[in-house]
Amino acid sequence: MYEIRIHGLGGQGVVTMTDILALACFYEGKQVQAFPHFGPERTGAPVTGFIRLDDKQINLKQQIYSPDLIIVLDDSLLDKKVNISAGAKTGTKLLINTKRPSETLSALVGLPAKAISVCQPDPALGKSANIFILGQAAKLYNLASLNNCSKAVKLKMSGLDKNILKNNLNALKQGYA
Amino acid sequence: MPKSSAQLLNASEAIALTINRLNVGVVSAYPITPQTKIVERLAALQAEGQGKFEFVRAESEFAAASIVLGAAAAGIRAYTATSSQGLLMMLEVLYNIAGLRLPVVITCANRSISAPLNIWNDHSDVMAARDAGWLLFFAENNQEAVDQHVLAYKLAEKLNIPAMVNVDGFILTHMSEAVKLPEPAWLKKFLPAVKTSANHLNPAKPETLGYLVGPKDFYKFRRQLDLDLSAAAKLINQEYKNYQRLSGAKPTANTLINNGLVEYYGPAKAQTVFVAMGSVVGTIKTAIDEYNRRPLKFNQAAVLKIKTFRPWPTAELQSLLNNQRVIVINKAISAGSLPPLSSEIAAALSASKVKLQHVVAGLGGQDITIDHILKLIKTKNDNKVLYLE
Repeated sequence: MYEIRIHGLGGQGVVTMTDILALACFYEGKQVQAFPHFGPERTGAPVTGFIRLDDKQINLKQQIYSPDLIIVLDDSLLDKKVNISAGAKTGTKLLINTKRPSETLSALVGLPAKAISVCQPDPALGKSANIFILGQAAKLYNLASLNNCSKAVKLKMSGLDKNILKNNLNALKQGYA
Repeated sequence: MPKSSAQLLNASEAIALTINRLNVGVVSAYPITPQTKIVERLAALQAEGQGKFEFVRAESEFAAASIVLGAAAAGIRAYTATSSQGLLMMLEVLYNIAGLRLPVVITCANRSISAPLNIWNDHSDVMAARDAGWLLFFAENNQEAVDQHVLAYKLAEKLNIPAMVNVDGFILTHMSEAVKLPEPAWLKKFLPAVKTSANHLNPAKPETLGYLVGPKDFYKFRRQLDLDLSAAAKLINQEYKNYQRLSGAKPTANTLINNGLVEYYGPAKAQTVFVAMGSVVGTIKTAIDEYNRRPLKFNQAAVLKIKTFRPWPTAELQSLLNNQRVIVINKAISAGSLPPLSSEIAAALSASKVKLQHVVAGLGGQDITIDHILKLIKTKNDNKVLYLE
């Protein structure tokens, strides 16, 4: 069992990213469970998404308390007293969108520096930053191939404007590089 | 065997897509969390021209239930979904639907009841409707939610008894996992798109429905409903088998009995057996797997999942539970008495030697974890109601 927790702010696409990453892992042939934080969502408020992966059927329905991987879309959460490393165990990895050096981060979140990876999506990606980070996570932690990530983006964004899909596929490619 | 490929769907999407394959003629609903996603999806399918049903927006849950009552009385396959306060507002109509013997199917995305206000999952809502005369199904996961909706229509239309499929709010409605939707090719045979047998609103052959009757006839109607609902167990198992065969479902692993009414998961000789309904059964299965893997195997655990709260599976319970330690997980209370599931179990097993432990858990969305379950196995029985901390 491998458990992922994704943090962001309402409007940054945590739920979309959770859905797409889960779908990409599903295309890999894994057993997948994905769910948002159960509660009302508001723009700008902290939002959390969860993914559970396994090779065998997942019966478990409890919330995720000790994630193997934590993904943070916005480092302002660190200043908002959101405990992004809650439940971290030995071996838990953190991927965070930040300009802060990983040594300072290590002290801030209480995880060893080598467990932390930072990423910085090009500001030009705008709203597609979540998909850039998805690409990074999929590649870094060997979750899904670029092909399956693209397939998932395409399925989930098929109803949207063609430019939105194009921007997101571009963000994915950059992130996966 | 017909094959269909699995999709990653939350229970709301999966249910909406399934309903859309069942030749439903009328969908009527009023929004309420956490059910709303189901009817939103159906409304979208209808607006896009994929849903061939009429979508009637209602001004309240009372109206939504009344609209599906009317549709069913005209022999149309009808559907609605609700949760919590919405189910309570439907309650008067739910009794009427059952009393009129109309084959309506509804989804209840289970949620607590106010006050205080709470939008999360427990089974308080359905327990308020348990005596309305409906078939009551409980789904453990998204696949079971899909399967039970198809079965619900099949049984409702054969028995002229309405059916409610209970799906844990948020835990299932908002959780995505692999689901195989029933294939239209074999669905056509299993659930043909014909008018149901309850076709009463026919101008050529006027009828009166549900009119005032005296005690003698009223007694007869109520008794018949009770008899028919109790006798439904046999048909449920039969149609469950048919459905499993047509859908090509694989038998569940580590399962002693799995029929339309119950599933017993774990070793036959388990000394501790949990009894539960809905999604929490998945967590109990995981906890049991972990517990039974330990080196000392003299005390093993199992779980008996209740799939139909109505009809109540008395025969299955009495044959499976004789002298074990039985831990009943209730997601609702009956203030001042034993919780609903516990009192049913206690009554069904009154002549047995089982040792009962009554547990109330998961109220208002309290998360029930593996740790809780493992602790319960070690907690001493005292026959009192234990509120999970």
